[in-house]
Amino acid sequence: MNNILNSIKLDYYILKSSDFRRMIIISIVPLIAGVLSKDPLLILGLAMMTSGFFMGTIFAVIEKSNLNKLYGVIPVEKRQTVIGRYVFTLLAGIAIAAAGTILTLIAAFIMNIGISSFAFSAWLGGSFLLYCFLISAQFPLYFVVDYSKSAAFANLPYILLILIGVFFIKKYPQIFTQSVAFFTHYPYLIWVIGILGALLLLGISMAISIALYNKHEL
Amino acid sequence: MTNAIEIRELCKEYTDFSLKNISFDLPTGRIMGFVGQNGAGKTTTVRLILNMISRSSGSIKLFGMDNIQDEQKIKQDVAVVFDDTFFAESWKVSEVEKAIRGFYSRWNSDLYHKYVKDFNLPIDKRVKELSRGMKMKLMLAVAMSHDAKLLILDEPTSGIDPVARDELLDILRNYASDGEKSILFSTHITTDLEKIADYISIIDKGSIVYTGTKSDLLKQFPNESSIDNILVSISKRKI
Repeated sequence: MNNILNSIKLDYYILKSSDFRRMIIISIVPLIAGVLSKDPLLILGLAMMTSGFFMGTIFAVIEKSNLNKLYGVIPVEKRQTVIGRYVFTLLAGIAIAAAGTILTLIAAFIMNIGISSFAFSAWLGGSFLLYCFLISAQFPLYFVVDYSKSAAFANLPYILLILIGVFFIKKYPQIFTQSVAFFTHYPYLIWVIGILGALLLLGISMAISIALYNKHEL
Repeated sequence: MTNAIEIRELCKEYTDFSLKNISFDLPTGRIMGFVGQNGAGKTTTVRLILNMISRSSGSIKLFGMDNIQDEQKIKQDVAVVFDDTFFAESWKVSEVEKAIRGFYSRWNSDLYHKYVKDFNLPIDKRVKELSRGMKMKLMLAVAMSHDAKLLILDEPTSGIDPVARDELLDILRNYASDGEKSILFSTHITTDLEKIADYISIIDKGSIVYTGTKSDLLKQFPNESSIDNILVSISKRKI
């Protein structure tokens, strides 16, 4: 347990050392997009999405700074490193969701735009699920292949998800309207699916990462 | 006499290179020079000792424990210096400690700051702003701040100037002076070893061609004046 906490702390310092300008851009873009589109909820959605991509930066720093050697030297099990990274990413996701929510509410207040609890729940639950999906799709690959070689492939599941989503909405629009009607009746299910779905995705992805990383030579 | 390192019949197969039946012992409290030309298998052996790569066969024991089964316990007592840093380039010298001290149960912050001061490392400078010699000293400061019983150095002097190399040798002498700490010093610059090594292991094309005391090695080659000349002589014999 102690080493998992140490791994979380190490990941914090690794992410902190990454390109700070990129972090600022990532924080500002959702804000500008939300204000310009006059849709404050876009701030929350975009913040979660861009952060989902940005978390892979940990692996970019590891590659650039030879940190794989560090992981070969310090007394930490590979399993603990993987668990630590997923927990750190989950905690970061929760923090970003909280910050995004606050910014969204402030923007809505300033622009005098009302947000229904249903719309808010749908965006928050959906964007958190998307964030966890992005992490789950990218991390197993990043644990075994250098970031510079795998970054392009790691985003493929996300692109595939969008294509499949667009296809289904166009082909079967009734599914979309039925889903909206269903969740309007059972709004609490948005939270249940968002949180449980996100944790399930992360859990499966983490198990795959542990299995792959244990066989990976540093 | 107990051994800090015991390696027996160690093999590692790659498509273009093999490590063949490596065996040697490093007695506790001694300094061993691990010598060989570039590509001879020194770094592969070090990586196998640290379980960074998997072995094909053989055994590695550190302090009498298996390096895979007891890896975490062993690594509390092992410190490593590589040819280049393994810290994030943007970390400050102070952040290096914050990031990794938690992993070591016997980490001594006061000692780390003492080494940083003694080595003239600027605490607020970033790793990327340090010279090669300073980077090596930073790795040494980290390595020596958790009371490690075994220090492994893999080509630490390559690319650094003679003054910094001499400083390193002084630091190592002090480190091993209590007779309880052992050092495995992998290098192709043999002049460094003439000054401090008690034992020498010579590796050539993936095989150990000599392992024993430095004095025995020099006796076996009475016509050669240095380890460097012995290395040349050995490689000529093999040809």
